[in-house]
Order: sequence, then C-alpha cells, then structure tokens
Amino acid sequence: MTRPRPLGWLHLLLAGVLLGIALVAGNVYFYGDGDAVTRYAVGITVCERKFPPPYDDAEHGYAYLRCLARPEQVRKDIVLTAAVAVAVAFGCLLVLVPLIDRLRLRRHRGRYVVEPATARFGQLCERHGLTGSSRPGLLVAGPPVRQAFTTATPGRRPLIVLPLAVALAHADPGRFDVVVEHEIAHVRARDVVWVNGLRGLALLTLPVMVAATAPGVLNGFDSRPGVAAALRGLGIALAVVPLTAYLLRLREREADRYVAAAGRGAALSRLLAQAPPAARRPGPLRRALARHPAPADRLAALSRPEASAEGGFGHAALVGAVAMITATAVDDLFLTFSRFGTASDSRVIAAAAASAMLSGGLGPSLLRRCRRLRDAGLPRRWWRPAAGLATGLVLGRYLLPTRPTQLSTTFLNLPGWSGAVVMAVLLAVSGAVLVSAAALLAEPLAGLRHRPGSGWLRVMSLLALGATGTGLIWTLPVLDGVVRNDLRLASLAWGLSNRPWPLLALALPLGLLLLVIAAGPAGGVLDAAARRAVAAGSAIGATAVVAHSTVVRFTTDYERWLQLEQERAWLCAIAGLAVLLGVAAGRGDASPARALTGGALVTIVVSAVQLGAEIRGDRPVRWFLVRLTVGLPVTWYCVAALLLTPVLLWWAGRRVRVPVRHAAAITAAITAMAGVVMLGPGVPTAGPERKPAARPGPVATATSIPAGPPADPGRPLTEADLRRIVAAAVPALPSYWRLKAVENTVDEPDDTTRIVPPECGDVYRLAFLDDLGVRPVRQFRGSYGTDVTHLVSSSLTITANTTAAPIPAGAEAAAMAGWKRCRSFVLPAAPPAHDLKFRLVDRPDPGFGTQSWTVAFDLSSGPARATQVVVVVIHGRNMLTFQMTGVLESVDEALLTEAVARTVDALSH
Amino acid sequence: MAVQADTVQDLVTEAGRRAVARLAPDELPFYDRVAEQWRERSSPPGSSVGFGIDAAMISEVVLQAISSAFSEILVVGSTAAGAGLLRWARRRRKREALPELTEEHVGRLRDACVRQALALDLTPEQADQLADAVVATISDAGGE
Repeated sequence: MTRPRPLGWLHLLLAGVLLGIALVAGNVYFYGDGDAVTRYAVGITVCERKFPPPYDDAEHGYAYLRCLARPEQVRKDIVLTAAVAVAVAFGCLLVLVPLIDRLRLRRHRGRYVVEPATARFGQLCERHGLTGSSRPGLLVAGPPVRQAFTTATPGRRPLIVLPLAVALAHADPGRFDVVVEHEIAHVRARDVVWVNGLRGLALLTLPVMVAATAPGVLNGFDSRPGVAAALRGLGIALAVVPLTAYLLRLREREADRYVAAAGRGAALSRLLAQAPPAARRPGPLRRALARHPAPADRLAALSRPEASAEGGFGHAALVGAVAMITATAVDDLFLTFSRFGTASDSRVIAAAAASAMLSGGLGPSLLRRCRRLRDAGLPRRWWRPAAGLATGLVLGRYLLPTRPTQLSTTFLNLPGWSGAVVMAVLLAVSGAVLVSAAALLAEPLAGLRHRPGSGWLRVMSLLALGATGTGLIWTLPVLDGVVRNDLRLASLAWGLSNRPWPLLALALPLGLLLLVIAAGPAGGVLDAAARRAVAAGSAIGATAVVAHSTVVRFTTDYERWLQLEQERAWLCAIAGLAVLLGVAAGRGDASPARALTGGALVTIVVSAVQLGAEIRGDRPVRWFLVRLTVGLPVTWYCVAALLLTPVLLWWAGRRVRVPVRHAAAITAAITAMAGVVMLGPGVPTAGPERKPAARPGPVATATSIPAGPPADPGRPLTEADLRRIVAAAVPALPSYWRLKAVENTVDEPDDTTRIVPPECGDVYRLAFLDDLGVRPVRQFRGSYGTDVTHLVSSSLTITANTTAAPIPAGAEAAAMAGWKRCRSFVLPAAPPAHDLKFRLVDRPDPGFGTQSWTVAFDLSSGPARATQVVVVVIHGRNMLTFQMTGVLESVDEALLTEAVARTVDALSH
Repeated sequence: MAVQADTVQDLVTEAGRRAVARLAPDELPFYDRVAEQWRERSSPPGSSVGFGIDAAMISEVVLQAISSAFSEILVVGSTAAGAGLLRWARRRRKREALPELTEEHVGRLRDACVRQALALDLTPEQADQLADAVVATISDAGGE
C-alpha cells in the first residue's frame, strides 16, 4: 500500500520559520543592548569614513568590507548565540514532548490488557507492512484518554495509544480498524517525531521572543530598528500558530486519505458522521487555529476531495510567507557569517532557498489540486493560489527584520514607503507568475499521471519550477535597484548579464518541452502551425538583428554602449516573444508549452546569429561577450515570458482561438513596432548619469573665489556673495560629508523660541541683537552633515547674515552677559520624544573678525548624548554663525576651526 | 432512609458498577480501574494530535451521569464522586459523608439520573436502566 505523503517539504517550512525566529531573536536582543548598538554604529561609521563610496575599485571595496568585519563581530556573536539557543530549544521539544506523554501515560502501562485487541493490532500492522523493528508499540489507556494518538521519542519505536473503549471494540472493524489504520498512517508517514516539535512550537517561540525583547524593553529601545525588529519577531512568533495548526490539520487529512485508500473510507465516514455536531460552527479564525479538522470537514474532504483546501489561497499564502521569511533569514545569515566581500552570491542562495520552499511546499499540492479538479471536471481557478502566494510573499517580506545601517544589502531590504510599495508590487507579480508557471507544468502532468515514468517527470517538473523560481526571485532585487535608481534601464545590461542566475528561468520552457515530448507522438514537439510560426519569427528576428547589428559598434561612451547592447538584447527577445504569441494562439492543450519553448529557441538562435556577426567583426571572443550577446537576450526573454505566463494560462484555460491570419497580423504588428522603436528614435533609456546630491561636490564653489585685492569684510553683501561665502567652508570638509541644503532663511520660523527659560532662548538664537538695532536684510544658510547612520553623525550649519547697518560693538559683551545667566536650559518636546537639555561649557574666544565668541554645550535627550559648538563672527555689517553638532562623537574642532577660517577668509574676497 | 455506605463516592461507584453490568457487561472486568482513574482524571495527553473523535466507555458515561445526578440532588459539590483537582484536594482533607436520603430524594435522584444520562447521549432505555440501577443500589444499601 502506498505510503502516506510524509509532508516533509511542509515541515521544511517549519525549519525556515525557526531560522527566521532565531535570527530575529538575535537581532532584537542586539538592538536592545544599547552599548552593543552604539559600538556597532560607531564601528560602521568609522569604516564608511575610512573607505567612502564609490566602490568601483574592487580593492577599495574589499578593504571597506574587511573593515566592517570587526563591528559585525558584535552582532554575529549575538545572532549565533540566539540561533544555537533556538536550535537547542527545538531539540529539547522533540525529546520533552513525547517524554511528557510517556510520563502521563505511565499509570496506564500494563493496566489494561485486551488480548484480542493486541492480536488484531498486530494483524493490521502486518497488513500495512509494519513488522519487526518498524512495528509500533501499543498502549491501551483508560480515562481520561478518549482519543487515539501516536507519539514517538527520537530513536525509539513510535507508540500508538488507544483508548480502552476502542480496544474493547476490537471485533468491530468499523471502529477499531479505522482508528488503528489512521494512526498507522501517521507511523508510515515517518513524521511523528517532527510532529512533537510542531505540538510545542508555539510554546517555544513566544518565550524566545519575550526573552529577546526583554533587554530592549528595560533599556527603552534606543533605536527604531530595534522596535521594528521586535514587532516583526512577534509577528513571526504569532505566525507560527496558524502554520503549525495548518500542518497538523493537513496531516490528519492525509491519514484519512490513507485509510480511505486502504478500503475503509465508508467506515471512516460513518464514524465521522456519528461524531456529535458542534453546538456552533466555529468562525474562520477558530478554524484557522484549530489543530484538528472538524469531523464535518473531514467528512467533506473524504466525500468531495475536489473541495480540499490544499493548494488553495490559504496554503499558498502560508508557503509564500514562510518562503520570504526564509529568503531574508538565509541572506542575513550569509551576510552575517560569510567573510565580507564574498557575500555577493548570497542573493542566489537566498533565492534558491525561497524557491525550494515554494516549489516543494506548493508545487506538489498544486499538482494534486489540478488533478482533483480535473477529475471532477471543474475549472482550476488558478487565481486563488496565485493571489494567495502574492499575499504571502508580501506579508512575509514585511514581517522580516532589517539591519541597522545603509550599508545593508540584506535581501529585498528597502528603506521608505515608495520602495516598499515597489517591492510589494514586484513580489505580488512574482507570486502570480510562479503559480502560473506551476499551472503550466501541472496541467500536462495531470494528464500523464498513469503513464510510465510519470514520477520521474514530476521530479523534473519540480526541479524546473524550482530553477525558474530561483531565477525570478534573484532578479527582483536587480529590478528593484533599477526602479529605485530612477529607472536607469541601461544598467540592466550589466546587472542582468554579469550573473547567470536569471537564465535558470529557461528551465520552464525546457521542462514544458520535456512534458510535450512525453505526451507522445500525438503531442509532438511542434505541430505544423508552430513550425510555421517559428520559421516566420526566426526570419523576422534574424533580419532585424542583422540590420541592427550594422548599427551596434563598440564605443568608448559607456552609457551609449550599454544602451545599444540593451536595445539589441530586447530586439532578440522580442523576436522570441513574437513567436511565443504566435504559437500560443495555435490549437491544442499544450500550446502554452510549445509557445514558451519555441520562443526560447528563436531567441537563442537569433542571439547566436548576432554573436556570429560580432565574432566576424572586430570584437575579441570572450566569455563575457557570449554572456552579453546571447545571455542577456535570453534573460530578457525569460523575464518577459514569465510575465506573460498568466496570460498564456488564461488564454489556454479560456480556450481562446485566434485565427491564423489574426495571429500573423499580431506578430507582424509587434515586430514592426519593435523595429520602429529600436531602429527609429531608440528606446528611452536613462539620460546622463546624475551626480550624487552632494559628494564633496559643492567644493567646486571653492574655486569660485575671485582673484584680486582683498575687499572690506564688513561691506554689505549680495545674495550671490552670501551663497558663495556659505559654500566656502566645503573644502575643509572630508569626503564623507554631504551638503544637506543651502537656503534663504530670513523669515524662517525658529524652533528655539520654545526654549525654557525664554531669556536663554533669546541668547541662543541671538535675539538680543534686536535690542542693539541689528536687522538682517539678507541671510543664507548652508547645512552639511555626515552621511552614514542615524546613530553616529556630525553636522555643521553655517549662516551668513548681512544687516542694514554695521553691528554695534556691544554685541559680544551682550552675548557673554547672556551666557553667564544661562548655564543650562531646555528645549521641551512632546512625549514620547525626550526634552533636549543644554549645558554650557566655557570656551575661549576664537579671535576672528571684529567681534567673535564661542560657546559649547553638552546636549542630552533621554539616553542620547551629543556635543555642540557655536561660533559667532562679526565683521561690520556681516555676521557668520557656525553651529557644529556631534551625535555619539565629539565635535571635530580642527575641522570647525578650518571651516570658520575659510568662511571668514571668503568675506574678504 | 439511612443508607449504609461510607461516602457518596462509594455509592456512586457501586451504582455505576450495577449499571455497567446491565449496559456494557464487557467493560465490567475493567470497571474498578476505570472508576479509580476517572475520579483522578486530568487533561488527557496527546489531545492535539488525537484521532479527533472521542471514544468514551459506557463506564465513564455512567459514572459521569450518576455523579452529576447526586450533585444536583444533594448539592454536595461540583461532582459527588469527587473528580477533578480541586475535589482531589478536598478529598484528601475529608471524604464526603453520605447524608440521609428520603423517599423524595430517591425519586428526584432517579429523574436526575435519566436527565443526565440523556444529556450524555445514552438512549432512553439505557437511561432508564441506569436510573433503576441507582435506585436499586440505594435500596440495597438502605436495607442492610
């Protein structure tokens, strides 16, 4: 008798969740340790300043990554400890749960001996092939045990526990045999030990997350990533409950199916029908959390197998969420534990892990769903699992922890809402595409199930689905990067061609080709219509490519070269897509399969022709050339074909037939449009690369200091003068500083009016100058800052004022008198933010200008600490203020002094 | 009627034995052990991975019905037979003494037995047999 499905892949989902929980717990604990986070952030900041971007030079990039290894060690140790703790705790569950069962059953052992029941149990075990060491033990238990169950300690034989009432019914096969065979199904599935882990998992995950969160709660969680990680960890811990409940329900249904296959379906149905009905039908939430299917649901599953929820929306959503949790966890694991600089391939490992979860956890279920509905003559409604998978992928993505710094390349890690929306859309589309691919494979497989070798075909199809998923999921971060980088499509030429992984999606047409071949002579590889379409498409594509190849020439303009390569790749891919659509419009159930296969073949042939043209020309033959000339078009074909799979599926499902003349017209129109786009005005790729907002860039203004004799620094200044003066300090700033803003700020509302006591606020914002008749007529402000983490940073704000009249000589004295009265003051904040407290530190006069003074402050806001130095320089009608703040680092006074000197110097030019 | 029995528990157990002998004689060899474990019952192990449908013995149902009937009539606690953890703690301190039963008590007890048995899904015939067994047990105890 066929062994019950062991649900091994579904238990692998559990492993993915456990991995996610371990990493989240480690990260949450890490974020809760304020000292560790500070050391980590400072370490990262030091590395980013020491080895600033860009990392075009590989050695520079590796040096940066090597530098990161030291601060990463802090996080690595904590995460490793958490992972080990969760693994050990899970191992304990596997042992403790059955141990507790046995302890609670010890009083029943040997107490009830029903010899005929034992004999019948032995016969049933033999009937199901459980003999010798594989035969399970039997324990007859009295009250309170009223339900049969199976338990197993690792390394020991499973134990089937039967209530005495069942044992006494040994002569009634409708009661005894059905129950025993249901339990035997669990034993034969060989998952009883793992189920012990499922039973106690919810008891494990919540305490783990609570323990991991405790330090953060006690320390007040200084960082937003810490709170986010804690919430996500709690989400994953809670997600475990429906996951385990679903797996347990699925397992029971599978055991019922086994009993029915053993010829006792009617008896099982009678037994289930006799169960007392529930007083009230449980709601959707209770049903989702129930660890055992209701008898009515089991009865329905036996009598109407097509109504099973397996492979439906909920199943797909669960698998999708866990796959995404796994992908992020694997990526984070590799980034954390691999040597920095070699982690670039972690994306493909993460994509492969997610794809394995998806294809293993969902693929066989979708095939069974397809068979059930096909046997019942019902429509497949593939949109349900597609919508479920899309939902699950999006939910799983946003349950995940993030890393604390911008250096993060964590899988699918996006800052901000716009990026999140983009990724959500990409994930949802990917989910729909993957279910469509699975459906394309499942339909022919369902028809081949009784053919010899169908098992082998199933395995191959599963592998094809897994490879397709890997290629697709790997591509997502690349596409996301393009979207976030202002649609710089030209960069895809490099992004997609420098790795072979997207080509894995070719496994789908190859798998379909295999199935079409297996369908036998009637199916054929390509029918006459398809052959005609392929020939026509090849001719069109080849002609276009040959024409286009006369345009493409190597150029030293990198942007232009990438653009040309991209256009060529698209042209080749479009030739394949034209064939795909042409063949898909043909007749026959397998037309989507033939369409995808034919399109891929045409793309490869056309690209190969292109490659030949290149080799005949002046291009040296290199592997990179092959990848670029053949690999890139095929990659684009795969991406576009995958996106078209839902349409193909719908097309095939609706049995839409496009007359040959229409198909030819559509193909010709697409080709013509492609030709116009490619050979005419060109594809709208990105324009010239925009420079980063403020590399040391603004430094360029330093060269704008006009030559000539010194001018009066106290003269009235124009707007242009003020702007130039504010920018004059830039050359003093290291390369990791960025320009934040340069703005006219004469009437800008001032937050410091809320300072308590108010007279200190007047001193802080120089309001006492109003009493001296000082009226700024023009004011410009330049803000600069370091561009790394939000935890460790420095900023410098330079404000240049020119006033209606020369500033009186008493300004400095008035300021010093004010600061004598204001040694400390507070800028209040609304809860939960902390008040900002200032404490004055005496500083000497900097000695610039006709009047100048310096004040320094120690700042504190809750647990956060900072320092601030304010320098004011007055020359005639001009006043410069410099406000430099260091958060979690000291103010760089040498840098400030140089910035002041350069700015003051600019006043004289 | 002065009933000659040490405790309510003893009377429930004896009445149950008599009812099981009539309703499910094949369970009689196990009755004493079942009654003992039923009184000490706690939550069952393995319920989250169980078969999904309860298979209760007639002995358990009978004990439950008689116990509930005695509790209803005599108002001596949550269960007259002293099942459950709290009852176990109380039982350790003092076993429930049997109060004197009047004819009216016996009549009401019979009705309660039938009602409880029907509520526990026994058939009307089984419920009558169970009630008769209880009355007979009380009569025997009172006559000794």
